[in-house]
Amino acid sequence: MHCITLETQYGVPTVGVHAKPFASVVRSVAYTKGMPHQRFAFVPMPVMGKTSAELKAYIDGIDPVTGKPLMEEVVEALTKPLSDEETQKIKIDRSTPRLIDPDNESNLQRLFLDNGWTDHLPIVVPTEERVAAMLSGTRRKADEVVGTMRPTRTREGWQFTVEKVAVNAVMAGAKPEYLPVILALAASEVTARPSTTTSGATMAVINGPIRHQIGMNWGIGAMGPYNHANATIGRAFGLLSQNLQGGSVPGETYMGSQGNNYAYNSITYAENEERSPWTPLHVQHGFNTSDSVVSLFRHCRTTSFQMGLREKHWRDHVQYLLRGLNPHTPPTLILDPIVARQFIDRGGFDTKDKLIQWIYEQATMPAGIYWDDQLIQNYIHPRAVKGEEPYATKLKAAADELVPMFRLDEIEVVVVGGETNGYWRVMGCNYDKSVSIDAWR
Amino acid sequence: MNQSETIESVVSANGKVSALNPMGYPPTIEQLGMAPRFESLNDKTIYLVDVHFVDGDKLLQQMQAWFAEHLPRARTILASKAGVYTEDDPKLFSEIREHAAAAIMAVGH
Repeated sequence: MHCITLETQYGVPTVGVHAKPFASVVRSVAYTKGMPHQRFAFVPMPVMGKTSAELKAYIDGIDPVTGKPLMEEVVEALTKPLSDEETQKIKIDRSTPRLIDPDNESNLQRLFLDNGWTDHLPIVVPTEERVAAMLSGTRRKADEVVGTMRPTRTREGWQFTVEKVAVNAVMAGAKPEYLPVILALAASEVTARPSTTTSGATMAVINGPIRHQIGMNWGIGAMGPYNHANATIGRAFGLLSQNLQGGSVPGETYMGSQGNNYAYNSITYAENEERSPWTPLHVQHGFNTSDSVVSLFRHCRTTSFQMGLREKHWRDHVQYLLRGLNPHTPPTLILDPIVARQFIDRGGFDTKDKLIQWIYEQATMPAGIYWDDQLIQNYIHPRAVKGEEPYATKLKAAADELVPMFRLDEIEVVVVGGETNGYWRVMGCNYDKSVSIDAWR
Repeated sequence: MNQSETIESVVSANGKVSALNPMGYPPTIEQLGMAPRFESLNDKTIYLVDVHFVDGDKLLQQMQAWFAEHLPRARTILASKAGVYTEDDPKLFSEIREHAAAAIMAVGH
């Protein structure tokens, strides 16, 4: 991406040297960004942790993608005269046909699987009749543009309509009455299929009257496969994300090294507003109690759990839990109602805000260890150097001084569960936004 | 029997159904021109730009050593791009345009 900027906006011949696993990704991005003949060279993976001698061997060695001597390739990329293909400026129009050639359902199942349009589980084939029935779940017009979706911020965004969302909702097995929730998820433009190497998944929490109207689960097993609405809305979120953004293909538009089982239904559930002692999540984020809203959390990958809050050491147990998180990924506390009330009994946190303030104060680590974290180095240190607060101040701390791991406004609390026991968990993730469902009815 | 069931029956009578494509609509691509190349790197300055991939700076140090040994007439400067990996660095990029004939960005991902 930076290479394209240097080539086109600054007129500087540039070669990008990438690690081998990114060969398909960078070529794909170069194509979509308008430089299909961009010049690259590739080194083996990993670079991280290699000795000077090993890195010298990479430089003196062969490009593992092309099989050519690496530095010969680098020099050639910077000196070989441009071909006609490389200098031409043309427009490439791409389109997506509305319909697929008619076939029997068995063959269509195979086609959808082979085209990478599924989550590798059987889907409901989106026939014209089924999509028309799904569209009865909203007053919005089928051809209305909803937004754009992309696998990561540096990739191109693909546009989509209400009908396109309905197609994916059918594939997931959703009912028409779920469509407003699914449209709100799509309208958020937050993908449930991010391409990130971190394997982060997305979480969707639903609040408001719609929970009752479509029969969602916020009690026993709410986060598991025990409710049709929770299950199919979450699955639809994943399918629409991968298809509307132009794919989620390992090695091309998906680079999560380990992958993430959470992505199967994007941790989709409703908050237990009725048994929560606190303000619902959507009201905390500016909506009214009577509004129906979905809230999105990105980068879900770390989960720690605890049972209840012990009388003597509950503060220590919570602090250990928090310090187990990566400091770049803030905590969202997911509390069974039993534990929510126990936080009030033990600590007097009669509002979510008071609990969040306390969590913020407990989540600390020595500055030297904080700044040595690789993700803090990658994503926070550059912002601190630029003077952005609160990071710039944190950068001035002595190595052994305790500093907050997270920002106060990054910490969230959700209440869910059926009170069969006092289990609770901390999800390392980033709250992104809350979106009206009512707008899509 | 409602209307949709009637249509479904008619379509399935010949064993085939018509389905909708689930993919979104990609934007038009406008191909951009690349920067003209110099014939040789001799007596030219090349910026080796670290984009903060883990230990990418160490790889570039080895690359700089390679240039010193194999293309001694090329002048290399190690630089570090400011900002997180997704951000451009206009100040550095302007410096490169002013002082250099070419750039190498590493390790991209």
